Amino acid sequence: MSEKKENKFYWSEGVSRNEVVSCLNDRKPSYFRNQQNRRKLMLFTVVCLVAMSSTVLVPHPKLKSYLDFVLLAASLVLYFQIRKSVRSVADAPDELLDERQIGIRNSAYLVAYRCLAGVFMVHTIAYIFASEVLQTELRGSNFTQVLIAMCMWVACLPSMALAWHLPSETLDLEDSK
Amino acid sequence: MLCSIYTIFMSRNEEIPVYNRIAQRREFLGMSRQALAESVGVHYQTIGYLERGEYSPSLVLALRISQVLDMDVQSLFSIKPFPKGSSNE
Repeated sequence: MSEKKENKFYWSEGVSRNEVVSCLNDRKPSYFRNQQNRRKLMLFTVVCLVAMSSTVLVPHPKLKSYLDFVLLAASLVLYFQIRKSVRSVADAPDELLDERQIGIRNSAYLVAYRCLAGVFMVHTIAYIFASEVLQTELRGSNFTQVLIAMCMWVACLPSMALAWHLPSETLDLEDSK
Repeated sequence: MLCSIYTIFMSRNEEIPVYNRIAQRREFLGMSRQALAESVGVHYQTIGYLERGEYSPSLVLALRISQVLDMDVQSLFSIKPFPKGSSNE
């Protein structure tokens, strides 16, 4: 029986089969196999996403639009890098993972959900503060940027939780033997 | 303060450790982790986690591993440490 493995794309997860399989079986040494480096990457992503939401406070429209573009590009690059650093486990469908990986992914989603509640709360307080105290108008492109930042938080948080939790893979290089 | 925030967000129940003799049995059979992982249908890192006692397998996985390693599940896994010389620690 010939078993043809097509490169199926999982629309709800936003990953392809080949991408997940190659990430899971990648044995090339990487800077982000180390927990400390992964944590740095995660913190850098947090800073980038916070900055993305904070551009509403920039008074100059031209500078704000440049910042919006640069931060959006940076957050996308960081999203794909952080996803790769955790071997796409956070976004992979059940059928491509084993029981341990499904377990850690599910735990990461629980942590991400709790963190997301915190992020929403902080954004709401910041929105009230910005509109009531600073008299910033949160409409049009200002509000769009905050919405994009929130979408990026939703996309990144599960991978960020995994990046924080997973141990360094230095020992695991022996596992393939 | 940061520590308490971390505890609220990241706390998990401590699992009861499951001791095993996978590494000894696998080496006795001359099998690599990769080969064992493929035989039982898990990622090769999961075998490493199991051997180091960092992950407790499900009953199905424990039964599959004992079948592949041709050993009773009671002889391969235990909730009490194995006697010295036969444990994976």
